[in-house]
Amino acid sequence: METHSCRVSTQDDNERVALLQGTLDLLILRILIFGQQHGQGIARAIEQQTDGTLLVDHGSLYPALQRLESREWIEAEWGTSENNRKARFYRLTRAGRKQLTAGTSQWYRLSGAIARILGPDQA
Amino acid sequence: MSRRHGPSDDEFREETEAHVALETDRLIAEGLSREDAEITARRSFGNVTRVRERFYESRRVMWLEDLRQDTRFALRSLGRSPGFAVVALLTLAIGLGANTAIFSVVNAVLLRPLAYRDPDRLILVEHPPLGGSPFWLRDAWRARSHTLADLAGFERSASGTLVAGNQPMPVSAAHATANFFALLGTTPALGRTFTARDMQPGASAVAVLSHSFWTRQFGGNPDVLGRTFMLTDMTVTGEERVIVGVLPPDFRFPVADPPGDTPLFAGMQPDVIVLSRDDAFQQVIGRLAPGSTAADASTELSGIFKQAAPAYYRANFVERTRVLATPLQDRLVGETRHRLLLLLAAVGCVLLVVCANIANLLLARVTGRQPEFAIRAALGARTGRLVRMILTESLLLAAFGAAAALLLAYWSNGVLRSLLAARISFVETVPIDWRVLAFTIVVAATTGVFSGLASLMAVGSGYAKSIVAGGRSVTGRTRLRLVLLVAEVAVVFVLVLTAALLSQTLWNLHHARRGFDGSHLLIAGVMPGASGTIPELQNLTSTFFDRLVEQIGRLPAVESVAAASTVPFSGPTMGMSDVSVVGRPAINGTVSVAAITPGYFATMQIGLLGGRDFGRADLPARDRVAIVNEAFVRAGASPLTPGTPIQFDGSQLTVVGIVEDTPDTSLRQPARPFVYVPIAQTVGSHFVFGRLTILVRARGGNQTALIPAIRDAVWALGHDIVIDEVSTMDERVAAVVRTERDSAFLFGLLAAIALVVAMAGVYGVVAYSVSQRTREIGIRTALGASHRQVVTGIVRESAWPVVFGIGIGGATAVVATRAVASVLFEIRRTDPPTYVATAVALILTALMAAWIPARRAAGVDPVAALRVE
Repeated sequence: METHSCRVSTQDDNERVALLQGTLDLLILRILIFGQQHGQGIARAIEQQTDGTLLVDHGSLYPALQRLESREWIEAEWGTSENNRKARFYRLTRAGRKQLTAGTSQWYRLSGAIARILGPDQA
Repeated sequence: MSRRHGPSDDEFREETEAHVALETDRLIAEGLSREDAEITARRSFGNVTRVRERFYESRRVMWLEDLRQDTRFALRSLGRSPGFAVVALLTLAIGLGANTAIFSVVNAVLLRPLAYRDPDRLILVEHPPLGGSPFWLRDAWRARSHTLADLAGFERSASGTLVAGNQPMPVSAAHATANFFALLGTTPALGRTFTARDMQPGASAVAVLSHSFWTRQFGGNPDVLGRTFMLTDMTVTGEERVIVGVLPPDFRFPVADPPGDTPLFAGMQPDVIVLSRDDAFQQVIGRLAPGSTAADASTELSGIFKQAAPAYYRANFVERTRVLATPLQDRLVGETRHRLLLLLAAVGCVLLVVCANIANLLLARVTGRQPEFAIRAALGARTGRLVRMILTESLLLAAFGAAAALLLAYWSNGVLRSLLAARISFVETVPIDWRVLAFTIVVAATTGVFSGLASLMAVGSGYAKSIVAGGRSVTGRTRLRLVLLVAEVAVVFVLVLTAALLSQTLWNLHHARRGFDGSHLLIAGVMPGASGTIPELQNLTSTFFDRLVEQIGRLPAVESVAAASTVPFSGPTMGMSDVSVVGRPAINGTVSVAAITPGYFATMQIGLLGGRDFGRADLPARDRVAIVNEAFVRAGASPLTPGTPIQFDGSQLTVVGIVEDTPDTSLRQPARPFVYVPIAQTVGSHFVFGRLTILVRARGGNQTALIPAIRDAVWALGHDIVIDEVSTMDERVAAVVRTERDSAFLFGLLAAIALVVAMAGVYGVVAYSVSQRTREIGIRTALGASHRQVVTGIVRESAWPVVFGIGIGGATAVVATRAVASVLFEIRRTDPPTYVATAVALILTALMAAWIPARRAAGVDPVAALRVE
């Protein structure tokens, strides 16, 4: 299974948190709920909405975006950004929306199960 | 999964650059300097190059995986319906195989460049009716021409005898001038070819061997260089020659097919090529100077001819004669090009029929898989994906078909080569080279794509709706199937009609009035090899053949014997112009001339229509006599009776007999006017014959058994007399019609294949229609329709596309047969009985093909049928 590197900013710069690929896909889908966005915007959104906990290697977004695009959960077209740059904008499809719902509930079930095994948070 | 919606390589590069730019902008907005912003933006992206590379890689892998998945799936799906796969594959193999086979021949003869240096700059210079060019003319051209870089003389093979170290062997020999090989750019395999030094007085007479002759007779032994031999043939006698070289194995002597039909011996490749140092008439091959065309050369050489010729020829002959320079390849191929292209068109038609059939088969399959497609669509597959699936299947079939086709072409190579060899001697191999491979691949791919697309045409994006609607909406698909069927029948009609026309041509040629009886007739060329002044030569020749005919006539197994300067189908004959009946205007054109011994007409069984044959009384000293044929009488001298004088070759001859017409070089052309003169009376005329053909009619029919006796009789009169071109008249005639026979055979074969394929198509359509309408049939049977009514009903419905196809085919054939009109003989290309017969044949076969599945329909159990939903 592929993993992607993200940096967690509050900790050591050299520490990496391995994210399962399904999770990154889910994050992207979630962010696109709010409307269409280009690659840089998605990366920024992930960083912002996790208050900087997750800093993604922007480049590693693209394999995920391509995967999502080939599954037709997102679709893309060229457009112009706020500051008049040409960029490729992604947007959720109906199938993508359905997948987001299914994926989110699955994630909660999974993380809940793991949490029960690991016990209450010690941090 | 499809990658159709991903970015292209370029787009992705743009996208990543945009990403970095946007991030840079943001960081600048947050207060960083431009430099720092750029660095940080790149760093947070990660390794841009690596991201891009991963993208490119994944795209390629994706594409390959898609292909692999499609192929695997297509294989599985074909495997699930083996019946369809086998039928489709067989049909494709035959269609593609025939095309590849014929194309490989077209390639070998028409497309492949000749094995000379810059072969498209080589030309052949001719001026009919002369069979070659005299020495003074060749000199004049060589000295004065600017359009030619060089020209050489050569003379084709003749049979001769080679004596090397006391070992005589029959060979075919050719002659060439010193610059011949240099002009062609031939590098010898051993030793050298001719040089200018060989022409100097005192130099020994040299010769080169062909590669196959060298391996055959001398075992490929290099010590053959420097050995001498004696060669006796038509133009040289007993000169000792030195072997100075061996030609490479791929060398071909430029032997052109003579105009008209092929005599048996004209096309052989020579075993020995000797340096020609005499003034004989020779064929001329030239190399064009840079920037000149064949047309330029024609004009220039014509001009030089007109300047130089008046010193040698009469003015009106010079006036009438045109010099023609033809590109070598065109001349060597000749009429065969036309026939080969016809064949190619025919196999193309077969392929069309095959395509239509495959499309129909695929269409039935697609329709049958509708439920499967509907499910796939519901599961999210896009139309494009399904199209790709169908195309992969048809391309896969085409690929297998192409492989089978190449195998078939390879296997039929031997047959093709022997078919060709009769006609074109300069092509000995029919290789499967890159052009043939490319052709096969392109044709197979086109067939696959075309058939696949055609089958999908009726399956629009509306098929999912139609499934939902629950009906078997067959209208669109059925219409397409019927259209394809009509097209197939039309094409098959044209093919079968052409084959029928060609077969009738063959029949007509075989039974064409010949005027002579060629059975049990042995013919051989005999050259006494006399020398001396012209009157001496004429005398010697005449007495020689008188004695020879007498000797042979004494043999018990010989019924009759004669000698003649020319016999039918032995090549162009000598002609004479300005012949006229005394007191009337000259006959238009030239009149053929033959010198004969008495008994010629009896031996050939040519009918004597009036007067008498020559006899012992027609001696040189007596009145000059002649016999003419019907064509002569028709040519402007009628009425003509024995006793009429004619003006011929500057003297007056009395016509003593009139004979039936006989063919000259071709069965197709009308007989030419002929004047026969006794050979005894050629003494003192302008005619010199070094060689006559003897004709021997065997008593009781076994003419080949006579050969040794005849050889003995000839050699009794001189032991180095050349006997060549021994054959029977039947063989000569058979050789003449051989091209027709091969054409008719091949066309017939192709037409038969197309017919079978088309009828399989009819069968398929009817069978399909029956299977689709089982319910309806069940209802009709339940309502009281009899077996016969059901069957006739179905058959009648399938009849109209066939009739329609025949109609279109007939109309097309009227136009299309213009291409074969030139090869037909004694039959019009719009011959109504042939059209009717073809139509009837097609209808009958179609009815049969439809009847078989229709019968099965009649066996449908109404109860079971009604239950089918």
